[in-house]
Amino acid sequence: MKLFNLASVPLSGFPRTLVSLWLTLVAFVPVYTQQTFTGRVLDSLTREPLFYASVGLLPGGESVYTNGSGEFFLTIDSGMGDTLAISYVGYRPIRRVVESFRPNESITVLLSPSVDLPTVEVRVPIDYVGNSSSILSPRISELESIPALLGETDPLKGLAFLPGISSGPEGTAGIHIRGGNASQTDLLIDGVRVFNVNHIGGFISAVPSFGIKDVTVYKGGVPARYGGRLSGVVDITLRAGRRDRHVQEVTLGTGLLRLGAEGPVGRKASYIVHGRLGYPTLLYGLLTSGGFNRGVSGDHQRFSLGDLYGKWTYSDRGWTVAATAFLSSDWGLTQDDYSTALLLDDFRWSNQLYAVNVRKRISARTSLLSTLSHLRYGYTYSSLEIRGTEGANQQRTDQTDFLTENLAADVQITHTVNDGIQLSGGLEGRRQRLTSGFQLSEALTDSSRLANRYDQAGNLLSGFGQADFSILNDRINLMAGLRYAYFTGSVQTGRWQPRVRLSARIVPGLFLNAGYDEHVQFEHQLSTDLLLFPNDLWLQSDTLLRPATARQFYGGFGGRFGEASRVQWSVEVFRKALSSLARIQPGEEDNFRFARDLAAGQIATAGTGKAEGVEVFLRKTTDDFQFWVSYTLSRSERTYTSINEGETFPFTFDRRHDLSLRLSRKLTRGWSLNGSFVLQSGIAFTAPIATTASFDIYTDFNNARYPPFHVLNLGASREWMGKKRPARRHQLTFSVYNLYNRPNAYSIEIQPVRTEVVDPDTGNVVTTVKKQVFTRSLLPFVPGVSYRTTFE
Amino acid sequence: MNSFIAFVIRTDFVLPVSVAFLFLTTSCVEQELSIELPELQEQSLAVLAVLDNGRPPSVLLSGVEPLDDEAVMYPVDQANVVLFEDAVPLDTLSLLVNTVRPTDPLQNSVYYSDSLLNFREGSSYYLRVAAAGYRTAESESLTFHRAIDPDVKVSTEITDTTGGRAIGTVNLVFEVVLDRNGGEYVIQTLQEAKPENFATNMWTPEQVAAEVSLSRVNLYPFLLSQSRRFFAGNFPAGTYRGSYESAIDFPESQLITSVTHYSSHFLAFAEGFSKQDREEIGGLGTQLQPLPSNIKGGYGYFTIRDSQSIPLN
Repeated sequence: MKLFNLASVPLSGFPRTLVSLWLTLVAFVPVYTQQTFTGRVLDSLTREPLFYASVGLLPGGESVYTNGSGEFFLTIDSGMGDTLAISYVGYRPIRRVVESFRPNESITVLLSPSVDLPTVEVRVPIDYVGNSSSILSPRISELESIPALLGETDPLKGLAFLPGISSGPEGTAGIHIRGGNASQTDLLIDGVRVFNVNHIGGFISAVPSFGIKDVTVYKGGVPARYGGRLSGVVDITLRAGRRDRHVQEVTLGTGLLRLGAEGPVGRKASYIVHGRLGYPTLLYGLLTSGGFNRGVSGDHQRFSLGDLYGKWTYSDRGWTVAATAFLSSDWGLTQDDYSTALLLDDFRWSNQLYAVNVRKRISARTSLLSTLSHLRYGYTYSSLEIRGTEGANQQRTDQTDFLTENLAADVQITHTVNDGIQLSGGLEGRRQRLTSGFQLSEALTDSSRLANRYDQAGNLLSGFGQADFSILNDRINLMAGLRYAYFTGSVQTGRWQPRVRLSARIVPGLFLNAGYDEHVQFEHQLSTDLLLFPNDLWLQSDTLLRPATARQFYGGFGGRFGEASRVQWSVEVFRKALSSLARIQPGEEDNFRFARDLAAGQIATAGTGKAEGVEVFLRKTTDDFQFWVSYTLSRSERTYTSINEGETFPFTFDRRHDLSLRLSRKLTRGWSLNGSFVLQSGIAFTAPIATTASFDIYTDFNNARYPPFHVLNLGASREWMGKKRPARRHQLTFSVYNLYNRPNAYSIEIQPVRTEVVDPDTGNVVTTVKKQVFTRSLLPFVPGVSYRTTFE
Repeated sequence: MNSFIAFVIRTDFVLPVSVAFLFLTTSCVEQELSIELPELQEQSLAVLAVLDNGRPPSVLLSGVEPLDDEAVMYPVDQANVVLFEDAVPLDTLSLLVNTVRPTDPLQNSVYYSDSLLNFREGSSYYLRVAAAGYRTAESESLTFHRAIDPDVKVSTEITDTTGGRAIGTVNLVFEVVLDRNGGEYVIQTLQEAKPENFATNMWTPEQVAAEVSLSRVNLYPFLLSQSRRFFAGNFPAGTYRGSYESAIDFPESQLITSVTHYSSHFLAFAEGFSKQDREEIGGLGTQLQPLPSNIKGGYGYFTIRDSQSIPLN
């Protein structure tokens, strides 16, 4: 009964309750069997399920696709075919004679990668999942081939090359889906929501590309098992270690050092661990720290970043247990020692994610998935100022910090009724705590002269049910789901969220799809300022900040054509309505003041939003050539009564036009060339229409635009095997970011430019002044190189 | 690739390639931007006028220039600035000529009068500014009400003294004469100029005197100082007490504590005014909205205030 009285459970007791509940649900496994012909398709090296593998009967029989657990369900009538064909992109296909299986036997199919890669690269096709172009699952290899900064690979950034998805300007983090804010994108790593996965403000994401098994992006048609964010879901699954042999990896790049290892643990388990460290700036800091005494004397700068990912996976008798740890952090300091003053600035932010996933195949038709996770994310900035000498010092310190801790447990059950109906349902409990504060201490006293803290805690209980129908030999797919979320914190409130998705394959190579989604978000992100480091403030729903909601309609068509259906295309339109939005009141973004004086008047509430657009996607893939082009024409607007005199204004990240191209070409002798190009409308900002000697005159909010953003990146890499040591493989990657040195605007400034001329009539020197508007950019032409070697 | 590198080395491309490489990696800094904005229909004026009871009036006047103006010239030196009391001209302000610094195209014109203002309870006041080539700017009419009894009491307790710097607690006792509904009482610590603050080897005594005269004009009447304290809400007539900490850094200066009552509308203007970053306008940081104004035909703000000031040290 405590399940429905979470609000009254004290913090210390709640985690224990949640863990007990989770263990109870996991342990309560109804064991029963059905006489059906079902199976699973797994990776032969890692024993991981392969999502969307094709299982068909030959000759001429129907085919089905595996679900997220790698499972398939197939009814075989006599005369339909005698051979089972299982295939998956990047793996060697397998054929089995049906008679080799016992009737109603549940089989396990192991597929081997078509190339014996030293590091397993699971390749999920970018096929439209469920014949919907609102759901995309790009290949990791394709995302990795998009050139990123300093020769690195960054699949998260690569997602912005898909239609309907964009990122902020350089130096900002986040993925914006269909006119939404980055904080409205549900970014999941192994089923755990993360708040920030970007190093140094988003130049490089902290998601370990080398560890990603697959990424699925839901722009619409979001299954009912997802919830908590308004605009979409990016579901990243990290891969397990190899089961066949031990492999180690070392990568040295322009900016990062990467080490990794994976291999079997006994016969039933495997491990994988990888870590990255930004070594150049760290080395520079260490080498120049000779005269540095923290807080006492010496000039010094130090900055670095790092992340660590580890996963242990155990499989036996239908059970799969995976324990994941993911840590990422940026840290640094700057100390300036002047003759009369010492200034020290110190910062650190970090993610700490721990999760245990349990998957149990209860029967041939039923499986259970459960996750227990803990996420801790926060940042701290502190500064110290010491003035004076000879024992007469005056000291000033201030610190701003933010921390969120999330403990969550969920359980989901999927049951396949027959080859046309699949049912799923589940429960999720989440306990979240948010704290933030500002503290200022001045002069020589230890007492806090100025301090403000807030502390919020809330519980979220969610449940969902969903039915997936496959009709007319998979020509028509219907998803009908319903989710309910109940939040207890400063307020108690609940929301129903219906989800419907319908797709129909009209003729071979052409499908139509449409859907309707509703979402609710109980956390509001207030961006306090644009910095290279995270300094956002999250607040839970309360009497002032009502739960934000989103409703979306979408529809479109797409398909394949050409030789071997290698050309894929889609066109989709969407319209989204947002309500109960919140943002910081314009002019209140100064984060110090914000943390100090958090008050209702500083937050704009009850906002509404509208986003609509059309997305076009074209993709061609052959064995040695890949090409993407995506274009999105969209509009995103917001309305708040306290902003712009209540008039609707463009959303800051409204990108009217967004064009992305990606090319990849394999050459001889292990070389491959990659290129990417992005052309986007500039983001919106507020410019004064006129100036005076004392102040500037503003009218409409977000009345101007940054210059269009465009950038061309190129990369070339070569892979080869060691001649003396064939077990060693090498990869050398060159990259160039911003090839033609486009000065994409990061900030915009007004500066008076003075010119002195001599008046020809009077001979006097006359000063004329023009106010010039400048854009300041961050990333010029940036070359990069990295070398990777793997060995057994 | 190897042959390409060998070709580059063999030829004279090394130097130009290196130069181009260095140029590309270091040149990407800033670029001029043209913003499409609506054209201003008419030349208008920006007026800043905070008139204190018992002090001589001063008004800051600037032309309003389009953002892309090729030659900015803010000062408006030929204006007729008239203060009205109950619709009758009370005082005409004249241009204060700065004898120390030449006219700067980016500065306000300062209009000034030597007459001390003596606002009458219940009388209304407004300002009219006319200049050739500009729309006439006229403020809303404001009615004066005494907000505070002149007999404000202030005491200070120094709690820390180090390195010639004192941290003190300022205790205030002030009397609200009539009921005040809305608005806020603001307590500020100000530094009043003395001649020795401006004495330099380069300046003549006349120049110092002129600078001191100018310094007595509050050129930043809308910037609320860091040491301000607010008391907001409705204030029935009676005695009020307040205290706050203040750093006393300049013992050679005259520090003054002032108690002033402002309307919420004025404070909205002053807060917005203080937040304007006049250099960085873009980015995702501070974004601004229009400043409130009570100037018809122009921009800016006009207010009359009853402010009581007491020396602190």
